[in-house]
Amino acid sequence: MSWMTRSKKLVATVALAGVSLALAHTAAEAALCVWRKPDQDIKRFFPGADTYKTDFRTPGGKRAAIEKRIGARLDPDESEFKFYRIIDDGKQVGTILTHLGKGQYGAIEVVVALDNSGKVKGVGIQRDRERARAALRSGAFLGQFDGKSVKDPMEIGKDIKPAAKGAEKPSATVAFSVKKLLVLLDELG
Amino acid sequence: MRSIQPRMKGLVAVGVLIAMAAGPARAGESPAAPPETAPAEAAAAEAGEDGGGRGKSYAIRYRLDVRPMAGSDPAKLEVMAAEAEVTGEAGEHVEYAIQIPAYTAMKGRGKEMHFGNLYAIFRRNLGEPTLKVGQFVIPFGNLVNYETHTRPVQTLYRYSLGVRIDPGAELEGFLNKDTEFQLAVTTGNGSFRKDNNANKVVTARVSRTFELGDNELRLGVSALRGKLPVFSLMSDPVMGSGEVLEFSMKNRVGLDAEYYRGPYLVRAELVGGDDNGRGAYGHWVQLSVPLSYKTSIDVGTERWKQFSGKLSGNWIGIEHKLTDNRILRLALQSADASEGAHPMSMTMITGQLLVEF
Repeated sequence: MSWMTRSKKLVATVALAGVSLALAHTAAEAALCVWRKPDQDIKRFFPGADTYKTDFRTPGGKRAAIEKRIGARLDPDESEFKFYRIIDDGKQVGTILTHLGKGQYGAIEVVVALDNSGKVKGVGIQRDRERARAALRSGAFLGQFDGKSVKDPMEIGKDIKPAAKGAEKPSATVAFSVKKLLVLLDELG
Repeated sequence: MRSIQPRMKGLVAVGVLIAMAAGPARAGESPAAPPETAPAEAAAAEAGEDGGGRGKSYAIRYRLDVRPMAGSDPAKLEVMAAEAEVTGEAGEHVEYAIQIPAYTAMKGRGKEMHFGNLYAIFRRNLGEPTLKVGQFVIPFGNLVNYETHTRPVQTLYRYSLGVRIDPGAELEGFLNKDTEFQLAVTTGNGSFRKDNNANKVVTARVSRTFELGDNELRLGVSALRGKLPVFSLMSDPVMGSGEVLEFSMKNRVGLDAEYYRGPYLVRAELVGGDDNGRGAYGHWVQLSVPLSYKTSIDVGTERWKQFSGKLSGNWIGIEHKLTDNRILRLALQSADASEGAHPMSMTMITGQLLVEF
């Protein structure tokens, strides 16, 4: 009897794992990248702003258009995005978005602040595991994105200088994150 | 037959959980096809797609954690977690999180250490501390920054504190740009347990982040006082077989660190104190070495000594991302413990398939 119980459980668990693997191939609910320090980012990018509110946005029928514009498929976990609307004196003064980019040695968590016209006000990095960590977070590198809009090209080595020699891959990851978030804001508002 | 029923009930619950996720999975197969409306999407739709409207909004994440294990006990395959996590906002000043376990093989206080997050966070103006009320992970040591819930190897809390998720209230905020603090008052009884002894556990932590060129160091100092369970060292409390030796008035001081040296990450915790006046101390250290974006290796060691005996453990593990939401882990753990005149050695291999969707 106990053998049968164990066998049933084993079969059920294996089946469950298999079904989950199949389902999880494309399923998703929420984007993975959390916004770690809202207070400090707002103070830095929107000094004087009072608070923020979160708008949940789903790509829905615009998924194909977004993927075409960014030149890549959305990640499996990206069926939903959080747009953090920054409020000052009751009015929206901008939006902050976050993205989990694929670095050389792990995720690069990118924060992008945008004004109401859709231009970059600033870019920050929350966490990363890269070797050129300081260069990647430097004003010299991240400042190159300031003022960029969704129409601007952001190719590393051409439009944007890499953070450091040998850091082309993580630099491209940050550039891709900025481009992607600009497109998302443009498409999903 | 009776013993089968709860398990089958659990598996049915897991099935329901997966069925809930099946809708968006099918719809998402073609990038050109608009997906069917998922629960979170429905909530967003209610808020309006023009960005102007905003009501209650929430997101749901499903998680399945399946682990084959082999070691001293007979080999087994367990569903350690089939759960949903709901996070959302109500108005501009309230955020909430609800952890909904559909099934887990964990039992007793081990289960309560992993399941039971249920809290609201109240925030006022920017820069002001936030207030968390409900059941949450207590802010001691590296529990604040290191989420162990989905990992085969746990940190020292299971012996040093004897609790992870506890009901109460917590104040959290920043003292300056690089310094943050947490102050919590909880019951010490664990999640979903009544405060039957009117005991209160007070936990406080201050941490500071130092930028060191290409490296980063986060140092934290914690203190805790309150009555908490002391577990036997002869089994792992988190695996549900933990025996509570007694409830002691614990005093703890902890020093925790996270050191990012380029791609390498060292996590460490040093804890000391007493259980009703009897000394208790130990440490936990882990080095994480990424080989690529997808693959990394962890090695670590831990020691713990309390009035009943001592324990030492070592482990090595590898993690590989199959995709961004499917992770494979393999951990080899060894532990030596002695309690009274009884020594115990254990070697265990744990595999893990973690799927989030």
